[in-house]
Amino acid sequence: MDSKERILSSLKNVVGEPLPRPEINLQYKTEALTEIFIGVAEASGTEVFLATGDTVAETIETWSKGGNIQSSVPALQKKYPLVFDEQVPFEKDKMPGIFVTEASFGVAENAALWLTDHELSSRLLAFIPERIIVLLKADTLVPTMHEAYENIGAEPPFGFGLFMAGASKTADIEQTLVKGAQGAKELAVILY
Amino acid sequence: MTVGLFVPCYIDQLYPKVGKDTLEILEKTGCNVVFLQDPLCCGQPMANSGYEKMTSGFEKPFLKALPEVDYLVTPSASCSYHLSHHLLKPLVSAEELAKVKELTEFLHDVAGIDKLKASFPHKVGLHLSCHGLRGLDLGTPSELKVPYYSKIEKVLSAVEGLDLVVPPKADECCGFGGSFAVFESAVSVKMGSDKMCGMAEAEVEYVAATDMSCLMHLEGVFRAGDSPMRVMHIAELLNSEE
Amino acid sequence: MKGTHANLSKDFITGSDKTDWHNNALWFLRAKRDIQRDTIEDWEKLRSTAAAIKDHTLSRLPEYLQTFEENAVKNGMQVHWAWDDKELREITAKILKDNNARSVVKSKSMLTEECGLNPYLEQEGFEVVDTDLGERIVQLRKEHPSHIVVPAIHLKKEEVSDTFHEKMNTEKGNASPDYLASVAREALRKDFMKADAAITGVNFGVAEAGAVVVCTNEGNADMGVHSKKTVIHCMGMEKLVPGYDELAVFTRLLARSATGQPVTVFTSHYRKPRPETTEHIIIVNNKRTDIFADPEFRQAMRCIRCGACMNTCPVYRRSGGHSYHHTVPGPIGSVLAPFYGKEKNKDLPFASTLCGSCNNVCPVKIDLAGLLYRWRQKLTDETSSDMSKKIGMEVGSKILKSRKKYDLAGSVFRWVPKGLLQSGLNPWNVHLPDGRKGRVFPEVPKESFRQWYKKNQEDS
Repeated sequence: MDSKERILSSLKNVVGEPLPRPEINLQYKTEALTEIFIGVAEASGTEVFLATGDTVAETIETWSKGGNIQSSVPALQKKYPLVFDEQVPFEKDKMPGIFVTEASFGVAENAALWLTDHELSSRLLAFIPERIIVLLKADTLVPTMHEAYENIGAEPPFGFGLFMAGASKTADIEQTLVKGAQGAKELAVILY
Repeated sequence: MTVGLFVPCYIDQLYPKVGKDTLEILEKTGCNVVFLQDPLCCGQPMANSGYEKMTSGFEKPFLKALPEVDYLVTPSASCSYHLSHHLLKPLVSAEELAKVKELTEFLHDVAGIDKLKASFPHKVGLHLSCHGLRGLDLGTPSELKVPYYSKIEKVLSAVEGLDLVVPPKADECCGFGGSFAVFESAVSVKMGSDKMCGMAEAEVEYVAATDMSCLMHLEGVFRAGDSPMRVMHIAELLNSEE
Repeated sequence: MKGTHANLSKDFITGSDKTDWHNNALWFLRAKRDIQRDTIEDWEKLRSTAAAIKDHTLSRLPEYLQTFEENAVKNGMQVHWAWDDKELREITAKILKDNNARSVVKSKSMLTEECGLNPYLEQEGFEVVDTDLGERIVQLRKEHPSHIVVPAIHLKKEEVSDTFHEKMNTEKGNASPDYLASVAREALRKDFMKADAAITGVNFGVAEAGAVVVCTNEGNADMGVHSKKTVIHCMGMEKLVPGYDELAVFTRLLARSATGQPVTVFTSHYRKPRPETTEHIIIVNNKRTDIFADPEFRQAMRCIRCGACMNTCPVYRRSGGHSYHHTVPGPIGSVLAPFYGKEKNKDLPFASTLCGSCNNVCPVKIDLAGLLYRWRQKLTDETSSDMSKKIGMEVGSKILKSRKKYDLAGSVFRWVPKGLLQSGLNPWNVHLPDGRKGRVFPEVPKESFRQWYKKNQEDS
C-alpha cells in the first residue's frame, strides 16, 4: 500500500458521519468603502492617491519622481515599457525601479489588492521592484474577503493570484516594524 | 428556598471566615441555609493534576445533597466549575446540575442583593478569577467581543462606600492553577508577582476575587514581597460593616 | 528531569532578564489582535463559522484530499503523499536531486521544522537558507523558532546584531532593526539568486480550486517560488478548506488573530506552475491520522497555526517558547506534543494553569484548556509517574473522601509547627534566586470552619 492509500484508508476507517457544509452568513458594513479602504491602507503604510482617469499619469510621475518606471498596464506600456525578463529575474538593468500595475479589484476591510498573472504579466514583478504603484478603480472595491472570493470564483481561473496589502515588511527583530524586508519597500495605490 | 452550603476543603481549613461570611450572607438573603457536612472536596486538586480517577467517590455526598436542596452554593468559582463541568456532569440531569451555583452567581441570578447591607469604604482591586470568568461566565472576558457585563460588579454594588477598581489585565490568570503553583513554581510566582505589580499600580488597598485559591496564592506573594495590600474574598466584602 | 518545562521556564525566568520584556512583546500582539477583533462586527460568529467549516472539512477529509489532488494535478502540479516525517524528507530530497538542485531557499514552514527537513537536507549535502527574517536569525544561531509566527521573538536586537556581526560581518554593536533588516535583505537577495529550488509551507489548501495559499509579510515565499524552476510546497493534511467561500473566512481571521494585522501583506494563491517549472505539493501526515482518529482530540486539527494562543498565554509569555521543548510551543503545542512522544512530552499539558484565555482567542475555537485537561488524565495513566506527586494525590484523595480521616487530618494539620509550614520543606514556599521570598504559606487559623460551625451550633 503506498502512502496515499495508507493515509486515506486510515482516515476512512475512523472518519464517521459527514457534517453539513456550513452556511456563511455574516454581518458587516457595505457602505463608505472608499473611506474604509483608505483608512486601512494608510494605517498599513500604503500611500493612497485619489485621481481621475486624466490625472493618473500625472500622479504616477509625481510619486515616482522619475526613475526607471515599467508597467504591465496596457494603456501605460507605451510610456513605461516593460523590459523585465523573467528568465534573468535578478538582472539589475532589466528590473524596474518602479513597477506600475492595475488590480482587478480591492477589498475595503483590509486594503488588499487582487493581482493575477493577467495583471502582473510576470509574477515576480509583484515582489522584486523597490517601489510599486497599483491602480485601482474605486468602483471595484468590495467590502470584505467574502465578496472578494466571490469575484475570484466568477473570474476565469488564475494561475497565480495574489492579495497584496502593503509594502513588504517584517517585525522579526524585537517587534520593530521595518518596511522593505524582501520585496517592495513602498506601495502606492492610485484610486480613480 | 433551601440552599445547601458547600464549604470547600481549603476554605474550611485555611479561611474559615470566608465560610462564615458566606453562611451569613446567604441567611441575610432569606434563604434557609443548610451547611452540607459531608461534601469535603470537589476533587479538583487531583483531577487537574491528572488523577481524576482518584476522585471517584467524591461525588457521593453531592449526589445525596442535591435532591434535598433548591441550590447548592459554594464560595469558590473553580470548585463550582469543577462540580458542574467535571465531577457531577456525567451523573446528573441538566436541571440538577444547574442547582450548583457559585456565590456571586447565586446572588446575581437567584437571590438578589436587596437584603444585603454592607459597607467597606476602601479602594479594592478586582481580580477576575479564570474559572469564574471564563468557566462560569460571571462577566465579559477581555478576549471576546461580547457586550460588557459583570455579575461580580453588580453584586458588589451592594457594598456601600466600596471604591472598586478593575485594573488593566484584571482577567489575566494570577498563576495559581492548583498543583501548577507548586510544580511550576517559577512561572506561578512570577505571574503572582506581576499581578501584585498591576494591583499596586492601581493603588488599591485590597485585592478581591471570587476564589480564595487565587487569593491564597496572591496573599503569599504579597506577604513575601512585603506589600501592604491585603486579599479579601467577595463574601468578606459582602458581609463587612465598616 | 532536567529538560522539563518547569525547569526550562525557571531558567528563563530566573536566569535571564528577558521575562518581562518577552511578556510585553507577546502581549503587544494580543493587544493588536484585540483591536482588529473590534473592527469586525461579527467577530464571534466569524470564529464559530470557521470552527464549523473546519469540522465539516475534517468530517469529509478523505474526499477533500482526493478532490484537492485531482484539481491540483489538473492544474499542472505534481502531488506527493508522505506518511511521516521521514517520507517528507526523502521525497523532498529526491525532487531536488532529480532536478539537479543543490541549494534551496525556504520560506517559513512549521511542518518542515516538525519533520526535521533542514538538518536532513544539509546532511545530504544540500544548502538550505531560511528566508523569513526571523527564521533566518534562528537558523544562523542554530536554534529553533520559539514561536510559530514570530520565530525570533525570544531574541533581543543586540543578540541579533551579534549574530549578524559574526555571520554576516555587520557593524559591531549596530543593533538598529532597520540596519540589520537591510543587511539581511541584501544577503537574502544573493541567496535567492543563487538557489536552485524553492520550498514553502502552506497555510491553506483549497480543494475545489486545487490551489495552495501561502501567507507572508515579507514576500519571501514568492521571491523563491517565482524565480526558481523547482518548487515544493509542504502541506499538512489538515490545511484543507473546501473552496473559496470558506477560504474567505480564514483569510479574515488568520492575520487578525496572529499579529493583529487586517490581513498578511501577501496572500499568495499558487494554482498553476509557470512555464518550464515543476511545482510539487507534498501532502504530509506525520501523526495527523492519530490525532484524527481520536474523537476527543480531532478538533486540534482545526488549528490554522496563528499563534494567538501563545500570545495570550500567561505561561508562554513568561516562560519563552523554548521551554516547551517541542516544535510548536504554547497551548496548542502542548495539545499536539504528546502525539509525538508521550513520555518525553508528558510535562507539557501540565505547563498551563488552564485559565482558558487560549480558548477565547482561538479563531477556530479549539477547547485547548479542555484538551490539556484530558491529556493530563491520559498521561498519568499512560506514562511513568512522578511518584511523590502520585503518592501525595493518593493520600490527599483518601483524606478528602472520608469525614473521619479529614477531621483527623485537619486536627493534625493544626498541630504542625508554624516554623515547619513556613520553611523550605513546604513546597508552597518559594525563594527567589536573590534569596528574597517569592511566596509564603498563609497563617493557619485556630479552628476550621467546620469546628466553628459545630461549636456555634452547640452554643445556640
